[in-house]
Amino acid sequence: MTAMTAFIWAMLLVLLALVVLCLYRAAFGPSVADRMVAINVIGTKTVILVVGVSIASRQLYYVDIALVYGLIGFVATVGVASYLERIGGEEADRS
Amino acid sequence: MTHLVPLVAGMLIGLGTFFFFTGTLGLLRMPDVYTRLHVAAKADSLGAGLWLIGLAMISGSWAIGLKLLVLTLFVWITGPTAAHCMARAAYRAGVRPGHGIGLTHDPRAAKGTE
Repeated sequence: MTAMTAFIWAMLLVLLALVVLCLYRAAFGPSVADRMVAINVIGTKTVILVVGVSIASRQLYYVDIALVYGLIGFVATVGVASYLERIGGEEADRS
Repeated sequence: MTHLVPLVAGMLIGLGTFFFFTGTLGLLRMPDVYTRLHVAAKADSLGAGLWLIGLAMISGSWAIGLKLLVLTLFVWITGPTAAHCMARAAYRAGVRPGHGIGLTHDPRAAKGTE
């Protein structure tokens, strides 16, 4: 393991800890929109995690999986936003 | 000259991690949905772009490097679009800007806090 690979693994562990911190906002966020924002952030971090693991472990075909995950995450975010826009209501502003 | 490439890539990856940390801090500490969204969208775009460019520099393959650059462009296009969709959905669903903070000067938002 070269120094570069070890550095990438260390930074990926930091990102994993940040994902756990984001899970707090996704679990206890006072409103529905807070959870949506937190899950979008976790999705972006997951794309970076998959690409980083792919480069650090030299399994380069995982990059395609990260691409598809980003696509699905974007479509899911737009879909959930459209759903929240449609239902609206009182429970959206529980802050 | 070649030995500079891993150094620059490591600096980009470290900076990207720093911006992800900033975005997470803002997501946890900001008082409002819109301020959280603001911080998270910008810090995520910058962190993801720096990470992916750094990884593309050390990927060692032109095909993977170009694919990572395409992924960077994709993240830079979809991130602001998703943030715009979420902010519009939150506003139309009735989340009032500055609700409960007491720092806003928007009269419509101040009316909502009564």
